[in-house]
Amino acid sequence: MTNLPIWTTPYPIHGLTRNQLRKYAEEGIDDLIYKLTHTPEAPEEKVPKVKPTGMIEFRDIDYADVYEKFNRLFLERRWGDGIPLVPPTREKVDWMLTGTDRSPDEIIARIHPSQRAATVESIATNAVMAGAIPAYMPVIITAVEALDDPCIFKGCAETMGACAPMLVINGPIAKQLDINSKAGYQGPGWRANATIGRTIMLLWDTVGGSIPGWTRMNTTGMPHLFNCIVFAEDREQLDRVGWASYSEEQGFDRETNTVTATAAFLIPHGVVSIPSSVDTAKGVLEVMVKWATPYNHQPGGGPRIIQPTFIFNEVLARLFTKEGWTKDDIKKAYVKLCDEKWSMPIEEYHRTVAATDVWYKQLSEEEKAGMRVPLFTDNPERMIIFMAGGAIHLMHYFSLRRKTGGDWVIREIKLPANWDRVLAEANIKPHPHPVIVVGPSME
Amino acid sequence: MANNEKRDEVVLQVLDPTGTAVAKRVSLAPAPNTLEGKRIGLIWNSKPNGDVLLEEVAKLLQQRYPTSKIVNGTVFCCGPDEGTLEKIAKEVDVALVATGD
Repeated sequence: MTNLPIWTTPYPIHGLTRNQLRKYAEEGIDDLIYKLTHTPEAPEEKVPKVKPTGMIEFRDIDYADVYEKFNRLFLERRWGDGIPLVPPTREKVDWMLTGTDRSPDEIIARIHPSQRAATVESIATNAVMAGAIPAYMPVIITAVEALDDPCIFKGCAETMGACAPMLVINGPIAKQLDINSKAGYQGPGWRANATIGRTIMLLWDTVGGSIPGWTRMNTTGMPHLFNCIVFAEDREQLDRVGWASYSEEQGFDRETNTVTATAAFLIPHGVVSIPSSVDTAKGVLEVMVKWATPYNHQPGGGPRIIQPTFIFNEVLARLFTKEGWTKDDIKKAYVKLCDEKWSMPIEEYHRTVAATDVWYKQLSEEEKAGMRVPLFTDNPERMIIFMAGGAIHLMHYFSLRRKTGGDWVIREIKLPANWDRVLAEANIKPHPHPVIVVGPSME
Repeated sequence: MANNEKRDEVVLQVLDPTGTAVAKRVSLAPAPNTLEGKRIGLIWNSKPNGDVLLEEVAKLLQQRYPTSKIVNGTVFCCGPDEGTLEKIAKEVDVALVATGD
């Protein structure tokens, strides 16, 4: 960390009057002027340019006690999520590295907020801690690369808002690794979903130094910060409905493995329940649009900020396809209806959803007079529909904000040359799913 | 994990999960010894009242240093990209950057 001079005021300054802020300024101005006119001394060089990976040793009379000591130290150092970890011994990390043929020293990304380098080896180390297996490494490494893309919101590891990464996997690898795409896809029970995401979050804790309350300023935190949201699009449901997957929409063929990633404010997100009495495309759209009330969206940031993402299952998809609707038809209609329903007068926008909006403050009175603010994107391509979940009248909705977490990045997963062997050694036994009996309404 | 010479002691050695530290050396520009005649840039991170606090600070600085100049008299908006930062660096002598909430 540099010795950048920092001037602080009492917290918070939100909600104070100008006079109160002037008082803070007056009380602190001498200190501020000193800091602006004196170059601080360079900090002591404590860390060499490249530090060999250190080993940490624990001793006790039996393994249970040694394991407890390891967990206590790691969790005290905030190298973890609070749940006991798997010890990253040299042997286990070497085992994890068998899942990739990339060099252990290769730097994959810099992790916020510290911007320390995540190498293949440190990724493998955290993957061991998370409880992953070598076969997950290609997905994990690709996800780390994707989340390092310039258009991904790096503040996710630091923000006060509720923000977490999401990873969606497409291609044959989803089934090979038994990444859940059906009922319970966002919940527990699948090692791949749980530990791929947990590795990412542990990287944020360890390599990134993202510590709740200190460097990660989440006001509430959220459950997704344990292991992100990781799922696969369901190929079977897509095929039965006749829809292309998200990765196919982006130009990849169905045999190509991809990770689609974002790091987004999940404000709001939740389950949209479509009443069982609703059985038309128009009816479903009406519920979807009503659910998208901007009052729970935090859409500050100006017009067209909200970008919706829905996760359909085939029951709901068929309510559209039986009337001849395509995915594009749904997106165009939804975006248009949200525009009509959820544009609001600018003063209401300022008062209820965007009180401190930079964009609002830069408008002149003439510009504001009579203005209505359209909140949702008017570009259907910015709306995303994934396919996953159990077969019922429920879908999931995420709202992403353009500029802060509103972008998805898709990357092809490169497999190691010995992938067949990695997979064979993984010996993954998929969890069975109940067989869905297709009824008349789904034909 | 291995047993060492003491028969009843278990040793567990694990890797440091923070990995290798590849330090990027960043040095600060030397501070001016006065703000007289200097251009002072204000960078607001869009958080509530950050702009107001910067404005009040700027007013006090201008009272103390009448020959100083608040660049453009406005605040730069949040999250400047690298190109914007380079531009700001050419236009100001010191910058106040609001961070946090």
